[in-house]
Parts: sequence; structure tokens; C-alpha cells
Amino acid sequence: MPAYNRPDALPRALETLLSQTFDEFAVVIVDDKPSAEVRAVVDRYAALDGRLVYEPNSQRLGMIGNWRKAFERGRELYPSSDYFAWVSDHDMWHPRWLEALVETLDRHPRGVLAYPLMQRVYERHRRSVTRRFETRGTASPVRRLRTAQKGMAAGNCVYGLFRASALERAGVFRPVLAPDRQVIVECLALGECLQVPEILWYREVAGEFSYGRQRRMFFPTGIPLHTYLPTTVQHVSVLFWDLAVRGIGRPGMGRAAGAVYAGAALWFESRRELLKPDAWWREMLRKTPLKPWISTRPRADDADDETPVANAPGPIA
Amino acid sequence: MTSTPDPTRPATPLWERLARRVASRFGPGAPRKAGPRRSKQERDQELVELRGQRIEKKQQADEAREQRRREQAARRDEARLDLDRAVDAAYANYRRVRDWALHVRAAGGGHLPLDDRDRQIAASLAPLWDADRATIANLRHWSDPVRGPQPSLAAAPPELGERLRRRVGMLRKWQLGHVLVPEVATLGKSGFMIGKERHSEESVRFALGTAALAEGGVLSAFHKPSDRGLVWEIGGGWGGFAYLFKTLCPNVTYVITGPLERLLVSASYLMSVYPAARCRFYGEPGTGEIWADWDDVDFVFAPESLLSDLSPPRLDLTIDIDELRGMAPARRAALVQRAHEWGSRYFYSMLPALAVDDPAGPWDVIARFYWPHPISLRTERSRAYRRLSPPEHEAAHLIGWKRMCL
Repeated sequence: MPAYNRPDALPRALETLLSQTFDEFAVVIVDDKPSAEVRAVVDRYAALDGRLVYEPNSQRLGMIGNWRKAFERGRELYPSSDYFAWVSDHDMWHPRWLEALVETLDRHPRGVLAYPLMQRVYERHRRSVTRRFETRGTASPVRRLRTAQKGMAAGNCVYGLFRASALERAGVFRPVLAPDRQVIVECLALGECLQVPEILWYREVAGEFSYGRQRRMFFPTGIPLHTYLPTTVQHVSVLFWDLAVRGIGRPGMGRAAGAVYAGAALWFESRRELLKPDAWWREMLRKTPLKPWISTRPRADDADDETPVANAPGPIA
Repeated sequence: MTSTPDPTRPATPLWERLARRVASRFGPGAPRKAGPRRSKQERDQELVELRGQRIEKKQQADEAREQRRREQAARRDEARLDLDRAVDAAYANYRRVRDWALHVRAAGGGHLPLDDRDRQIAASLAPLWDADRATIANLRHWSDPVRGPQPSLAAAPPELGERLRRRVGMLRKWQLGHVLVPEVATLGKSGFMIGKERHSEESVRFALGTAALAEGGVLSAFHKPSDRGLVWEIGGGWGGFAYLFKTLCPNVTYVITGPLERLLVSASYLMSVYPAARCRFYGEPGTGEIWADWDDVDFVFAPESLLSDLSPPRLDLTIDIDELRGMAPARRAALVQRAHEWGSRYFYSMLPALAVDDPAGPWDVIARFYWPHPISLRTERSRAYRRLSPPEHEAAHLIGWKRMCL
């Protein structure tokens, strides 16, 4: 759990995690903004449950550094663990969340990631996200990639359960913008993404998406220049380096096949970036008199497949 | 080989073609309409034969009709005998339940400080303490006070049946047909025939409850054939929700607690619609340890007054079908707390939609012990469904996850 200053929501998050029906797991909290309140909450639950490990950072690592550290510390402390998941310090998980995901990955050895349907929790209401995306049964990595470009919401998938070895090969989180999308695209080169068709994760909605916000959150000590390149260039460069030069996909995917995969990613991502409803050229045209003719559909990651839940309160104290 | 008309040859004139047609129809070579003239004797003979054939056919049809009548009568007799046997069994079940309830009451275990609603229900159900066979044969109709007013076939307005029919159709359309469990007509018919199944407002309401449990990720936990679940329903109503839940998830032990009068109804009903069910009654002479081999038992019935003595080995789900709402706050809180103490992982509560915002409602108490998650069903969100179902008929669903720290 990469934590960052949410002592208000942490008890709920910890309770829903520690109440999982599948109990062979541990929670490693890596706190990027330690405080007495967070410490008190963690101590209270650590006294009840020995599966809780707390590690405050002595200096702020930023989101990418903190997410990487959570993975690395998890692997160091529990090297025999087959699976790994990032969890936030403010969401809620259904008691069967881990049980269903572990069962799915156990049944499908070719799966590298399993994730459930989710419900967004707003301040005063909730919305169920019924988007369906998975690459179950698709043997070709390029076909998996093509499917992902059409329907994947990386921000939801990244909170799924990963096969730890595959995630390690894929390089965990890289210092690029939208690192969740990058790591999942890389994982898709190694195996299938599976979806559990039940709402088992309740996600509290944070602020608006923007690359500027990502740069500030990811790199607190200084923003690298390469993050000003288009995200497609950042992602494909990492992919090419990993798959075509380092050959991390071997033996399943050779270097040449890795280069083809990176090329396919360049094509699919470029097309996606150009055609998406909030593409830069659409934004520019929206500032002109042509605005009425420009589509105003929301981002694919957001509201197009959400359904409201009546009588549903938002965050619960 | 086909010949093509010669364009140079002049066509036959129209008058000649008409004349040929008339000659072919009425001329000497034209076919005669009638056959050779027959004698009167031959014609009479033919008539007699025709009449005989007609009589023979009628006799055969009469015999077939009679045969069908006999078969239908036999089937009716068989069904009546089956029903008689079922009612006999139901009456025997009722007497067992009544003997147990009387025993508990005599031992002082039935005393429970009742709320107004409970007192009303107990007064309405008072005749059931000394019911005859005919009363038990119509147990569904006798349980009106427990389940609320229910339209019977005769009294229901036609629009109610139509509305129910459309609601069932919509549930099926929304892929929720699997939670629809039809009514059993054994102990009194209730509801409407929709297709080949009988459904009532209650069966549809309960189906929506199980749909909420499915949407809330709870129902699938009880589908595992390996892991026996333990479910506790507070009050138990007339046993309708228990019947539906047990039909959908057979691998559970279902515990019902409530005032003795209501257990008379629910226990008699469930034992009758599930003749092979293994039932236990808390405090029944000769039962022994109530939880011994509990996973071999289908239903456990216990008076609410003896809850403190009843300590189940585990508890997976607690169900409240609009029972807590009618209780005094202290009693309500004690029941939710009991569920939490017994380790119930989930708490499901169904309320009328209009009662959700009532500050004195039970959901606040549930939220003290459980993380609350309101469930809004896809069907209920659809405009078409809402048109069919006015808000006063709608239900709201809440699933709670057990809190670790209170």
C-alpha cells in the first residue's frame, strides 16, 4: 500500500483488506508522508492483525518511487509470494476481492493480471463502472495489445492482482507519464489480462486527470525533461528497450517479436492518442468557432460506461 | 428445343381466338360436368354409407373424449391425493412445530418483550395455535399478517397481474431470471400464473433481494459445493425468502429466529415445501446439541427470546427482510450487535424505498457494526421498470461488511 496522508480513510481501507476471505497475504504500507495520525491508525490495526507491516519513508519519494518501493519491499519481505497487488490508502475492497482474483489467476496460468469490476465512490453518490475488457484466450500479444487499446482503463487495471514474476519482468513502474498504462501494455506482452465480472472494488474518486498534476505527484524532487515528450514516445521507448534490446520477453517472445510488439504499440497508441475524444487537436478546435461540430464525449476512462447507484452515500466514516 | 415465334407471320385475329375458346368449352367435344346418371337406389345406398361413416366417426370421437375425460379425472384425483398427502404431511409438520413451540413457551423460553407490530401479528396469528387441517391447507393465506396484504387470485385487480407479468418479463430481460423462484401452490395458491410459473408480489420482491445479494458479490459465496455456509434470517417472515434462498443456494444451513407465533408459520411452511429438509428446533425434547453436525442440517428454528443461548459455530450472512424496521431501537441494536458478535461477515437488509431516509430506520444501526454498501439494481434503475413499479412498491437494499473495530 503506497500511502500518502489519508488518516481519515485508512481505517476503512485497512479493515476491508484485513477482512478478506482469502487470508494468506500481508499488507506492506509504505508511507510517503508519515504522520502521527497515520502511525496511530496503523498501530491500532497492527495490534489486531500481524499481517500488517509499516514502513515510513524518511524523505518523499513521489508516487512512482513509492509504488516501486511498495513492490520491492513486498518482494523482499515475502519472496515466495506468487501474486502482488497495489492498494490505495482510501479505497474499499469487497471481502471476496482477493479470493476471486487469486482463484482466477490460479485457474489461468497464462494470466498475468486479474482485476474486478468497480464502483466509483463520489462524495454524495456512487457509480458502477460496467466496462468489460480482458484478453482471456487471446494467444497473440499483438492482438492483446489491439484489444487493450480499444477497451482498457489502465487506471483500474493497475489495481488488480499481478503475477509477481511477470510484473517484475515488466519493470514495475517506470519514470514516465501514465506509468500504469505502460506497465500493463508491457505485461500484456507476457500474458493475458483477466477480468472478474463482479463489482469487488470501490474506488474513491480523486482529482481531475492531467499530465501536469502527474508530473508534480510523480517527481517531487525534479521533473525529468523526457516527461515532456508525448506519452506514446515515452512508453514505446521503454517497450523497445525492454523487449527488443534487453529481451525480457524471452523465451516466449524473442527480440525480433519484441520489436514488432513495440512497433504495434507505437501504431495503436498513436492512433488512440489522435482519435480519443480529448485529443489535443480536438481541444484546439474546441476553442474555435468549429466547437459545435467537435465531439464532447468524455474520456474513455471515465463516465461513458458508468451507471448511477441510487440512495448510495459516498465515503462512509 | 423451343420454337421462337416468327415475327414475319401474321398473328391469329382476336375473333378467331375467342371463337376457339367458346367452342372448346361449350362445343360437342367439351367435357361434361356431371357423370352418368345414377339410379335412386344407388344414391340411397351411398347416403346410407355416408351416414354410417359419420356415426362411426362420432362414436370414435365420443370415446376419445370420454377417454380424455377419464384421464383428466384420474390426473385430478391423483393431484388431489398428492395434495391431500402434502396437506397431511404439512399438518403433521405443523403439529410438531406447535408441540415444540408450546414446550418452549411452557418452559418460559418464549417470553419476549413484543413491539406493537409484533403484538398485532401475534393477535392475528392466535388461531394458528389451535389450527385444524383445513387451516394448514391454506397456510399461505393465513400468513397475511406476517407478509403484508397479498392479492389473491380472485380479489386482485387485473392491472396488478399485468404489472407483475411485465416486471417478471423485465427481470428476465435483464438476465435476472435465474433468481426468480416460482411460488409453490401446496399450501394455498397465491399470485398469478406467468407462463408456466406462478409468481406473486412477494416472490418477485424476494427475487430482487437475491439479485441485490448477487450484485453485491455475496450470493456467489454460497454457491460453493465444498464450503457449507450458515445464514441467519431475523424474523423469517412466512418463510418465503428462506425458501428462495435455499432453492438457489442449497449448500447452506438456514437459521430463523423470531417470535414463536411466526415460527409456527415459517417452520410449517418450509418443512412442507421441502419435505426432505432436515430441521432442528432449539429446545425440542430429544434434539441434543443444536449445533452438532450442523452442516447436515437444512433449517434451524429458534425463538428470539433464547438468542443469548444460541451460539452458532460460524455465521456468514445475516438477513433482515424489513423486520428490524418495526422493532424498538434497543431490540434492533441488540440483534445487529448479536450478528456482529457471532461473526456474521455480511449483513443484508431490505427496506421499502420510501423508508430509507427515515432517521429512525435500521440502517444507521447496521452502519455502526457493518460498513454499509447500498445496492441499486440495474432493473430498478431503468426507466421502463420504474414506470411499472411505483415508488411505494419499491425496495431498497443494503449490504454491510463486518467492521473490525467498533
